[in-house]
Amino acid sequence: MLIEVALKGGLRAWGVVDVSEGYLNQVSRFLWRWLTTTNHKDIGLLYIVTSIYFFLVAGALGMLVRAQLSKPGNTILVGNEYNEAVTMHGLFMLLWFVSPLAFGLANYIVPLQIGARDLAFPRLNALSYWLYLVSGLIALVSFFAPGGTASAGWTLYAPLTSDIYSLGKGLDLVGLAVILFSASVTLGTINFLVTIVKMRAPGMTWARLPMFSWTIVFTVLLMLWAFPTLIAATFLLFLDRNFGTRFYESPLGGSYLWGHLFWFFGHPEVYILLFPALGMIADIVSTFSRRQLFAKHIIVLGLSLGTALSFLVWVHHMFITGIALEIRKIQSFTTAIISVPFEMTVIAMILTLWRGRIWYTTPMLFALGSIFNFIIGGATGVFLSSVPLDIAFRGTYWVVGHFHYIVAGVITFGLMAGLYYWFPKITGRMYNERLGKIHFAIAFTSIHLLYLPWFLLMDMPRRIYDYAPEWATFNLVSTVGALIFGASFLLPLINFTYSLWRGPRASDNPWNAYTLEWLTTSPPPRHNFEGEPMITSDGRVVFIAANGGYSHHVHVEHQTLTPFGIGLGALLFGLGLVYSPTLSTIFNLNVTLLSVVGVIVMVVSLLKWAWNDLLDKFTIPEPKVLEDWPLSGVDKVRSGVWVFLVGDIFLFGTLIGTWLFVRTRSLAWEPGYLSHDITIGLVNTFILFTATYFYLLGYLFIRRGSIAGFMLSMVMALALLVSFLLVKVVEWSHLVSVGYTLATGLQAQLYYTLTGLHGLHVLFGALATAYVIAKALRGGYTREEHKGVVEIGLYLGMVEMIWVFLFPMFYLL
Amino acid sequence: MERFRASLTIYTATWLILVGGAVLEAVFILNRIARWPELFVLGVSGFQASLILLFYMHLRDEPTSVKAMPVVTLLLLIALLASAITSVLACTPYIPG
Repeated sequence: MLIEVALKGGLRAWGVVDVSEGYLNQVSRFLWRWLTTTNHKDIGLLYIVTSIYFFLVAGALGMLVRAQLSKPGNTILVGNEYNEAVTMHGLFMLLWFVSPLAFGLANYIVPLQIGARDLAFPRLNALSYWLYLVSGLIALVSFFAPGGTASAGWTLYAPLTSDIYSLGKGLDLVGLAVILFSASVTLGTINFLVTIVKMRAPGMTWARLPMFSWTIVFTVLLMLWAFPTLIAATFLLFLDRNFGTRFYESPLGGSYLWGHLFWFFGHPEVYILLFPALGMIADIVSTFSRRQLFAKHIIVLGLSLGTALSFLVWVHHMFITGIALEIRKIQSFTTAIISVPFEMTVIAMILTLWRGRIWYTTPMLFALGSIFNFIIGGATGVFLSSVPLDIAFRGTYWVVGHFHYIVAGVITFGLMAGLYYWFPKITGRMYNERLGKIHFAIAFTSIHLLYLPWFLLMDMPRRIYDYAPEWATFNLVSTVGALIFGASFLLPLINFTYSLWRGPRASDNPWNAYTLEWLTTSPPPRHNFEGEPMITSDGRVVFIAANGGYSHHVHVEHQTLTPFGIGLGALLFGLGLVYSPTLSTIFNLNVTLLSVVGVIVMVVSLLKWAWNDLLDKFTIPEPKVLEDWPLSGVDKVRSGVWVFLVGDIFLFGTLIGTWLFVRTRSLAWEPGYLSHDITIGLVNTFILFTATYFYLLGYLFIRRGSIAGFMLSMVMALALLVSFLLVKVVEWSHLVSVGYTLATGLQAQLYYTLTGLHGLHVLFGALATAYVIAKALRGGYTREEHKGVVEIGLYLGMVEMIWVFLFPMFYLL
Repeated sequence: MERFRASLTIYTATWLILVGGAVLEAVFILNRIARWPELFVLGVSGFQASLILLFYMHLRDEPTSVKAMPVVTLLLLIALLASAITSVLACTPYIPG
């Protein structure tokens, strides 16, 4: 009954149904609308709701951990159960709550803030969401896998993650979930970067870009360079656990390798989590102080410095590993100075408040609370830049206190500020201000009750489920704080749910804010603005024509089930790894019925996606006038491909780095290391170079208008790409037949991993070339219109570029 | 027509250098002509990759912002690899030097 009421309420709220329709019809229409949507506001809402769900999961786990630690000798969670709860609390909070909630808001707000109709690639946006949801569900399901879920800590340190110390399939599911999540993030990176750089309304110069949108730019840049490393690292872990490789168990620095790869991602991840919240806080502080942000250009400069420096501080997470002293000195220095840009940001925000006419609304209170917590969280982190202090504090509650102040005190407070701030815009209703302020008061007091004692527990080791009696008082205080802090989040749930139905109507701009999203209705129409927004040189916004540029009504027809299909396939594949009858076993990996069905669903969905493209079903004309510096002259698809290529190059760079790392330690490979036939290597090099050459010839022919020359060249390119793969298959078969297998050693493992992944890229290149041929056969290319040919050529160039490194690595050295 | 020929010449010359580079690389390594094989190979591969980027992927025609993307990527990779390898080469308590 309750579900029925909620569903009907939801149906009415979104206005998608006719009351006279049958109930089943209404439900199916409702489901169809949400499963097929590609609209940025819908996707944003899906992200927000899903991330709040994962927040509740992660929060519940955190509360269980605190309950266990409330007094010594408790037995609520002991041994591995405790480790599982701690591990998954961290992973859910960091991966499936914080960033997704920020990107849910970004999905909804950024296109509005920059005056765009949608994100650059709406289908990719939908795919990002479904992969995110599926990854979270797989991580959730891992709790029920035989042997339990991951228990190695959220950092998944090697060799704790090996199949010796982490039994069962739970960790495999978590690994798969992390890879899917990273794939989702990578797609989001491409989308947001291209959107903000290429689709700003006329007059929306970089100087006028609101801080929230600015911080999303920095965040996606960080994601672009950080997440490929996590994908590579987790991919190797997956191989270790399922295919018998030993990258992280090798005595030749296996655990070191994980440390470097993980933390090269892990430290920038802190800023990936932090930046969007800082952007929200900056916009909110400016709005409710009735002043422009103080020294905005300095803040932007500071954040760009922070972005660059964040990649040069990861070693401070490894100070106790006995890492080279020179490296420790350098990264101790970079860690100390990375605090400067953030201090500048905090000071600028405080100076914005100076002489401002401050309006203490709930979002403003949360923003101020966040700034206050930032001072505590930031200052306690500076201690950890010092090598001696870091060694002393490592593995204690001081470190845990520092990062919880940042993640909960700064970021979560910032996100709450953002939710309250944009709630009227998104829903068209005002929330209950009094309840909001009560929420702030409880959360702000209880967070210190929860986390401040941890600094006083600086001698208590983290990751233990029982402890000495002298730590009991502070732990009890902390647990009381946790219960109050956790319970306080029920208030916004009640507040938002109630206000969604009963809250007073919100005006278009209830806060008298300055940014563009407040100039449209609350909630905004599907096409965002009535007319094309343009910012004049004196900063006024004018709307130049109703439905100017391309009409967003076209977008409604862009509903598609393919992103959902790909996500569903991934979910079935993941679940199939554990919960399905096994058809056969490859190494330790079970090939099950459900996994096979999952792969089929994914392939069919991808084919449908390509078919839709072939029919030009999703072509969205780019608006004529835009602020697109510094990518003027590069269309959005090419821009997106360049962003993708950078990520992919980083992925291979990380794996090639792994080869270098291993090779540096082992001056001689295992006997028989030159078993690869150099002639075969050279032949394949020749084939790949020639394939790309023919592809480029095809490009020249189509520019000249010669369809016959174009087709001939493309067929040659395709034939050569397929030949490359066939030669590879023959070579692999031969090597396996002479006993050169994954069991041979690290060199063989690296060879199969890198050439296999490269071969997969060649396969995608061949499929893309086949797509070009199919489209040409349908008359899809002319001298004037041959979109897509260049982009696939760029991809093939990247595949060739990787090979010029792999060839000498495996055939010559 | 002129543009077609110019582009064809560039593509063909690049292809010849790439193939020639791979053969040269093999000859130099197999006959132990290169004194520091790793550095030699890195140099040749780096040169080949630059040719592909500049002439096949037309990076030279892209705006500075696009040119900056692979450059920044390369710098970050160098930072990661240099730190990782230096830390392995240094004597540590966990890995016997």
